[in-house]
Amino acid sequence: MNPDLVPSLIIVVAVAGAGWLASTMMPPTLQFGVRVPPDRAREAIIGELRRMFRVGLLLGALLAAAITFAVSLTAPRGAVVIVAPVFALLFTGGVYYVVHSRLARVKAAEAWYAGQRIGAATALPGSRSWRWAFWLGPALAITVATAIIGAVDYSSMPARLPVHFGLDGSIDRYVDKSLVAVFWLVVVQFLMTALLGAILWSIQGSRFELDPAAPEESFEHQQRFRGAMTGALGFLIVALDAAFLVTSLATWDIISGSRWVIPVAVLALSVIPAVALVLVAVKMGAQGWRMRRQGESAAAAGTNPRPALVQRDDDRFWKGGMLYWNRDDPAFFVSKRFGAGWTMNFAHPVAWLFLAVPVAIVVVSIVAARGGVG
Amino acid sequence: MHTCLVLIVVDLSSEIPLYRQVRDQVVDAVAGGGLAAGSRLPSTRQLAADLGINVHTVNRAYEELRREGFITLGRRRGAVVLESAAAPELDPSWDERYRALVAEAAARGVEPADILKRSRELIEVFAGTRIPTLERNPNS
Repeated sequence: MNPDLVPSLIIVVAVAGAGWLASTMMPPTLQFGVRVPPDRAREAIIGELRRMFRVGLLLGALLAAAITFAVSLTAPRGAVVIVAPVFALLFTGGVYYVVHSRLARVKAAEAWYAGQRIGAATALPGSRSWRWAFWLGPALAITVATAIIGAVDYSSMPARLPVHFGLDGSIDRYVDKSLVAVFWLVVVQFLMTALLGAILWSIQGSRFELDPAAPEESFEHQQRFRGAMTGALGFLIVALDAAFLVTSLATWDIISGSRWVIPVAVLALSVIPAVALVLVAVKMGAQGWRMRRQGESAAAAGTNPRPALVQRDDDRFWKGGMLYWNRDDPAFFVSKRFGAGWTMNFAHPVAWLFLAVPVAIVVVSIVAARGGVG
Repeated sequence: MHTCLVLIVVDLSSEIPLYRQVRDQVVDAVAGGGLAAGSRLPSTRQLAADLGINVHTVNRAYEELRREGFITLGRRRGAVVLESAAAPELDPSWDERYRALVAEAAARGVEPADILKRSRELIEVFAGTRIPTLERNPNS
């Protein structure tokens, strides 16, 4: 059996599973990237489309798995790991897009927003909380420690260093020792820390898109969601930095374990906090909407009963219900439309600056793996 | 920077013009202490995008607030809430508007004591001696 088959099938399941999870995180008024007025949230078509989405995801995953299996029988090693995510993303994205377009068409045809009393609510940005920065301390400390250990131990490292590992944890490529070969992981570690730190900072500055019918309540929920997601993301940064430290020490031959100890440690450090992040999102729902209590809140808030305003229909700014594109919006970090968390305004230049960092990480890794310029 | 929550809620189908709704809520927040002197308001483009309304509408609200002496508009610092004047002065139209409101209540036969009670309650809200809405999240 091709040793890449099992990890590739895990990728297929993960992609389809992520699509399904994202759909479960959304409030009834935001389905498949389409804004739905509250009085239409129980339309039969929405339930039908949800079922269609689940069945479609399952069929897509089975098809992607079958293709992956077929490729694994014939193709050279490594090809399967590319084929699996490509087909998984293609089918999952395709099923999403079909469902999204159908809902948008029905909504337009039946004029769901005609006659709605439209409102909008936002909270003025208050004094910025800096608690998110608490996580950057340990993260940067680990990064700096990794760099220092590398510098101090440089002379005693072996003449050839491993730069590439197979999916089963075995080393499949070495390069001669050089500054690039020794420090590329530290550079990637630093870029990743900077990127996630910038994301944490941007989350604190992003706007509150409040339900105009219950602005205080939705503010409180979004605030809590933000706090929980910041904590989970901060934990992820620190754990990933620790994973980089362990990997670096292993490639520098400073620590060694039996063949599987280090890969398992690195996997645990990356997977456990990532799962925690997903659990927070699933439990709270996108922007914390699951904390919403129907009815009682407006009465409890008391002093200022507001008319039942409906959040405006902003579908036109969301390409395919997923990509936010609004030139008139100076914000570059906004709440996600499908799945819990934040995404970028791709019409904003800063968004492209953000995208440059992952590209830089890939470039650094490729240069280093080639044995590169050092 | 202000510390407590300031919400801006607009009703697009209200008969009150949008710029007026924004202006009124900023004044309300200044009165209630939510916007202290020196607080910065978001840029007109930002607030317009946050509320999904036209940037000219926000411009008009800010212009009104500047004319009435509640904020300054600077090219670099943007809209900043001003200290209330040492010798408070009301806009000439204030008496007119207040008179209209009291007249409305009187014409409907509301007891003078009731009108006074309502006025006192509002004054207490803005003086900070009453908590107007639900307890805020202490983390905010």
